Amino acid sequence: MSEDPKRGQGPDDRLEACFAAARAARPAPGAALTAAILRDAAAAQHDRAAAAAAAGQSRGAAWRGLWRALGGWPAAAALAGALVLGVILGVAVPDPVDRLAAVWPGAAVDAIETGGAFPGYADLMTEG
Amino acid sequence: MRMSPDPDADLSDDVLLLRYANGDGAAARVLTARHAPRVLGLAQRMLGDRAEAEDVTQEAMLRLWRRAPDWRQGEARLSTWLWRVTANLCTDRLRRRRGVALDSVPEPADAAPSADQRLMAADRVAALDRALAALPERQRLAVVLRHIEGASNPEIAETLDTSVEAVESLLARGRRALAAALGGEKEKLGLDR
Repeated sequence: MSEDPKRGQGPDDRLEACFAAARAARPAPGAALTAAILRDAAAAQHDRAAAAAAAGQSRGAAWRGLWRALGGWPAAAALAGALVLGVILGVAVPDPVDRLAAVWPGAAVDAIETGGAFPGYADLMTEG
Repeated sequence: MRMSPDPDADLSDDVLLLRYANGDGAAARVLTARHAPRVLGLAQRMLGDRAEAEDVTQEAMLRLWRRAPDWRQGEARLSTWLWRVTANLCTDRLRRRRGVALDSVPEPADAAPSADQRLMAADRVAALDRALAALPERQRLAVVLRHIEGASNPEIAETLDTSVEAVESLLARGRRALAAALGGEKEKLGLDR
C-alpha cells in the first residue's frame, strides 16, 4: 500500500511514524497522581479491614445476645449442676426398690413386677 | 513519583492482586507502576485532556482496588479488564461532553519548542491526536490499543466485547481515516521524504 518511493513515504509509513512518536511520548503518571492512586489503595484496604472487624463484632454481639436470652451464667451454672447431679445419681445410687421395700411394704410387689424391666445399677454391673 | 526497584516486580498480576487483597501495600505499588501508565495513556488519547485522563486513571485504579478481593484468578487478564473499565469511563465522559461547544474541548497540548527532532515528534503526536479525536470512539479505542498501547487483536476484542473480525474492520477503517487526515499535513510533519 506504499506510494511511489520517489515521492516519499506511503500512508502506512506515515501513520507508523506518527504512532512511533506517540508511543515514545506516552504520558507517565506524575507524583501527585501516583500518590493519589496509592492513597486510594490503602484506603480500600483499610475499609475492607474495618468492614471485616465490624462483621466479626456483629457475630460476637449475636452470640452474646443468644447467651443472655438463654439465661447467661446462672443458667449455665444450673445446667452444669444438674449434669453433675445426674452423673452422681447414675453412678452412685444403689438399688432403690430393694431398700424401699423395707420401709414401704407395697414397694416389694412393685419390685417383683418391675425389677426385670428396670434393673438397678448394681445389677447391671454384676450382669455385665 | 519515582519508585525504587521492587522485589515483587516479577510477580504476575493475579498474585499481586491476591497479595494486595490480603493487605500487602507493596503489591499495590507494583500494580500501579505496571498499569497506571497504560490506563493514563489510553485515557489521554481518548479524551485529549490530561486532567480528565488523570481523573479517569485514578477512578479505574480505584475500581481495581475494590475488585481485588473478588478477583478470580486466571479468569481475565488484568490489562484487558482495566482497558475495558477505562474505555467505559472515557465513553461516559465523552457522552457528557457532547452538549459542550467544540471550542471548549481542549486541544492536545503543544510541546515546548526545543531541538528540531523533538519538535517534529511533538508535531506528529499532536497531529495524530487531532486525527484520532475525529474518529468514532470505537475506532479510536481500537487504534490506540493496537498501535500505541500494543494490545493484540484478541485483547482488543475482549476489551470492546466484540469479535476479532470486528476489531480488524475497526482498525482498517480507523487507519484509513487517519491516513487521510495526516496526508494533508505530511510536508509539515516531515513525512514526505
